[in-house]
Amino acid sequence: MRALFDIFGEAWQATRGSPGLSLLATLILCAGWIAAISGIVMSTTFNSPNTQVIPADLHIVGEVRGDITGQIWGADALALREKLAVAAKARTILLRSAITNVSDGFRPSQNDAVWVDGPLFSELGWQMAKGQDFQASDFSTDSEVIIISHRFWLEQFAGARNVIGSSIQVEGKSRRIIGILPPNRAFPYQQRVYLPTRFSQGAALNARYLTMLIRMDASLREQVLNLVQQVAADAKLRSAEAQAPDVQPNNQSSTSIGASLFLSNSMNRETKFVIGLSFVFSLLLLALAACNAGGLLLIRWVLRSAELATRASLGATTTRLSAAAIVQALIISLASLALALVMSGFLSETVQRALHRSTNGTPEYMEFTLRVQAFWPLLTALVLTMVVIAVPVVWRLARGNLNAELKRRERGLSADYRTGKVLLFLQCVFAVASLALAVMCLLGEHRAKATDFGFASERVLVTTIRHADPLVLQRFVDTLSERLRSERKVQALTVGLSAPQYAVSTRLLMPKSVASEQLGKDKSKSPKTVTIEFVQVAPDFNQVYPTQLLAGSWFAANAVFDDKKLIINRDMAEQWFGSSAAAISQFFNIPELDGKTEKRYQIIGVVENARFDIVLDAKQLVAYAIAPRDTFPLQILSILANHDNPKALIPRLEQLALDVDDSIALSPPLALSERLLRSTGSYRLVANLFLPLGLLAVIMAASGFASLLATLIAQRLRDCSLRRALGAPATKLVLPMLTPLMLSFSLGLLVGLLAVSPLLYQLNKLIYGQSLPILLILLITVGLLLFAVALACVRPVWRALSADPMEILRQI
Amino acid sequence: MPLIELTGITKVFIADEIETHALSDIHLSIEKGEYLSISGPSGCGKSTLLSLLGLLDSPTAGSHILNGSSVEKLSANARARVRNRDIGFVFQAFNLIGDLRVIDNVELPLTYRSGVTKAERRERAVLALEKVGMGHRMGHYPSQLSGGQQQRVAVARALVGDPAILLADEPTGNLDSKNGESVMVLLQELHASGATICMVTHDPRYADFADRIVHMFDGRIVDEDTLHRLRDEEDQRLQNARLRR
Repeated sequence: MRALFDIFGEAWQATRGSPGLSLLATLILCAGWIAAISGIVMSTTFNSPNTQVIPADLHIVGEVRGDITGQIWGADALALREKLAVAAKARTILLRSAITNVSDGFRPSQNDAVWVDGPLFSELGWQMAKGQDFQASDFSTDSEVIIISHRFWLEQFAGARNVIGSSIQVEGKSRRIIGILPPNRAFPYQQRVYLPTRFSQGAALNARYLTMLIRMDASLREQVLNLVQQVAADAKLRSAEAQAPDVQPNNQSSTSIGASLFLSNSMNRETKFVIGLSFVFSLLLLALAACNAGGLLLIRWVLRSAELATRASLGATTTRLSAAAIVQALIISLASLALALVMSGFLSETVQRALHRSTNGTPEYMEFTLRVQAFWPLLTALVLTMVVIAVPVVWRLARGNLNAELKRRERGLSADYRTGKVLLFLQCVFAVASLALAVMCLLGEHRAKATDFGFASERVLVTTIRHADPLVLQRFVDTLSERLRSERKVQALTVGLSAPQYAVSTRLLMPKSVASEQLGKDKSKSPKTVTIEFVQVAPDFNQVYPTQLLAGSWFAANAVFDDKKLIINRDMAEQWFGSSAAAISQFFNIPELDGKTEKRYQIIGVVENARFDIVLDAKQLVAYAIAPRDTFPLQILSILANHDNPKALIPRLEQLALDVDDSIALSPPLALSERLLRSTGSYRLVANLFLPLGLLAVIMAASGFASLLATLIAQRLRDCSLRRALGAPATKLVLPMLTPLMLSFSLGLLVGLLAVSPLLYQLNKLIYGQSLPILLILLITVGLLLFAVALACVRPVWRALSADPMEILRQI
Repeated sequence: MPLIELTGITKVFIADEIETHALSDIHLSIEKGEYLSISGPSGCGKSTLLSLLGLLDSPTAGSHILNGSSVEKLSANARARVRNRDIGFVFQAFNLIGDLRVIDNVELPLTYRSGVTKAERRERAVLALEKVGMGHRMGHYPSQLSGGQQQRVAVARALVGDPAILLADEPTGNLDSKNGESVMVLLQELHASGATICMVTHDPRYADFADRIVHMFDGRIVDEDTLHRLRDEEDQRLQNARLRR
């Protein structure tokens, strides 16, 4: 015990003995820890649901189809529920999420709503902050009650105490508020109002997608999964039967249904991506910081070499000295971890707010706090960090030359220098990897912003209107658009099925004749792998959104949905037909929104590539068709108005909407350019998060290089002075020292680039849905690193060059 | 039985494939209570021999017996433990640790020894400091002391563990004549009180303080007559070289 105390005392003395260096190492490591804590906290938060908020046995059953997870087709949901109730006696709750119009005493607003057919909150174990939960009778009758979220209560009622029992209008129908959820609780994501309902066969089919929650006992898991598989197989069979006869026979639906823990499967792809990338990034930065701190401590121990040799001569064993080094690494690691934990507390709140704001796939109850699950990853990271910091020093102690150090002889290009070069190499590898990821994000964001719309997007005003009743919606939109058309300065106006903001991701199914011809040329262009953005518009769409026509013609003014005509963009025409002209009059089969039926479209025109709200890349394959006028599966319509100053039109637009129907809300009207910026919020968040981390990586790599060079120069200052006294030119002084370091650094660059390239290649399309030039990313990364290193080296090199030979030699 | 017995010790350093024979066929024994001085010209191997005696280094060949035990093949950690128990070092450059106070410097060897309580450490360190006349400076830092005082503290540090032998490597090398003499007097007093001392010096005035002087030349131990003969031969060779030119 006493020995341990003595070892701690020695380690503390070593730490205190060089406060500047220790502080620098602590701060550098602290930066690495902040990154690591963020990564670990985010990862544990998303991968291990907080059982205080979401019960551990709550599962989600849903369809896995492209980027849609956690939802199941209405009819399948009902079939599955029946089977589960009979065979597994499992309790299920069905949810339907939709945006709905809420009003009463305030301006109507669009809000995320959830219709539930069971006691959702009691299953979750959430107590109401005010009022009461749904009663069993609410689900069996056509109850007119509603529960609101805490945030909705604060924003719409300013936290008024007497809100329970009052009424609000939902889609024009009065609903009595019976409860308010506790703060920071919403389900599944950030929904604001909750309504009880009963899903019958017809209603469920109209609802399109439902989310099914199931309380699943672990012992029933296999049984439940079998039932889920059965339903999935039935659904697949129906899908295959529904396919049109001239579709590729092997072009089966990729839809499948599975059950998984709620949270891990309910994250949307972009959120998962942010989390995964952040985790990798954070660990890279911690490794980089640990190497940097290890290099700094090594320098400190080199400066203490005579002292250590004295201790050894007095009987200190290598084990004892190594133990002191390890404890010092522990002190610095723990100090930096503690500092980082404090700072992370402030940061996490900011990130949480930003994430909630930027990605609607983040549940409101999700809190980024350190939880029990973070203990082991943090401990592992702590041990690894200590090892990285302590190993160079312990290695040095084991190989030290007592005699030389006692005599304070110069050790020349010693083992320390070689160890330092190894650390530099590792720092460079980690820095390249993390910086390349940051550059990719920044470049992606820049490209997303810079991609040409094809027209002046800031002149187009967009708003979206939703309603559960298609007829009410149609009437409202017709009246509103008619009044808007008569407004001065409205140059053009169009109404579409959420066009151009809503682009349906679908599979391109080609007529057999075309497909076989294409496949004959290039088998890699299998129709199975193609995804297009399917945009449904009004015939006058091109007046607001004037994309250039390359071949064929635009839709006729009296064109209707049933015409089944298609206009495609240039890239789609060139990729599949060789040229714009060749595409005219060809046919495509395109699945309906339900994914089960298909319709055959004939191409009548080809337009220039253009960019929409969620079509970030102008080169994305896009097909336009006429939106249906009678049925609106999504109950969503958009109005686009072309105006010199769209913002000036907003008050008038809102007033007109209120005049037409004061229960229907407009989504906040925005210029198309502004809307695009909002739609890329999550990407910008990634870029904004990674920018400081990337900068940190550059700074750490540069400081690692500079500190090693500075140490080398300090050790060889006498040598430099002698050479200077003998008339050596500047290049002969600096280059011999710089060259080996540059070799290590270059090797690190090379290995880092080789390691990160496949990762970049994989992530490239995921992050911004577009191909970024990897070579450019790598060049920018290397350029930035070299520039930072060159900048950091100025001072030590200047010191070597400006040393007065006489002064140095006199000191010897 | 002698305290230390070296038989056929050789030490070869290999650097960049060049072998340097620092010590060749050294036979030396040191009795308990003896005051021995090793002298010789610069580069003759005095300090290398002292490093071997102090177990800071191990011989390339030969036998090294300390207190009746063979120590030439001990591991690094075992050598450290023997150093801590049986050997006290006094260095030319004092090698005091600047961050530690005088008392902490003197206590240092005892912190590496198991079974010594903190109070006991302090007590023994105070006694050692008083023995060398530095009891009044125990709260100071080395930088606040003169060279002579620092060397006294270094001697106290060497004595505190009650070692079997005190090894001093040019203890007066960094001191002026007055302080050097004072340190030599201190060593003589310690010897008089029973300490075994082995000192390396190239200064014949200080070598004469010892009971026995071991002469070294080109990595070998030689007697005084041989030393004179070898020096004469070397002088003759130099003179011939000058004449040929």
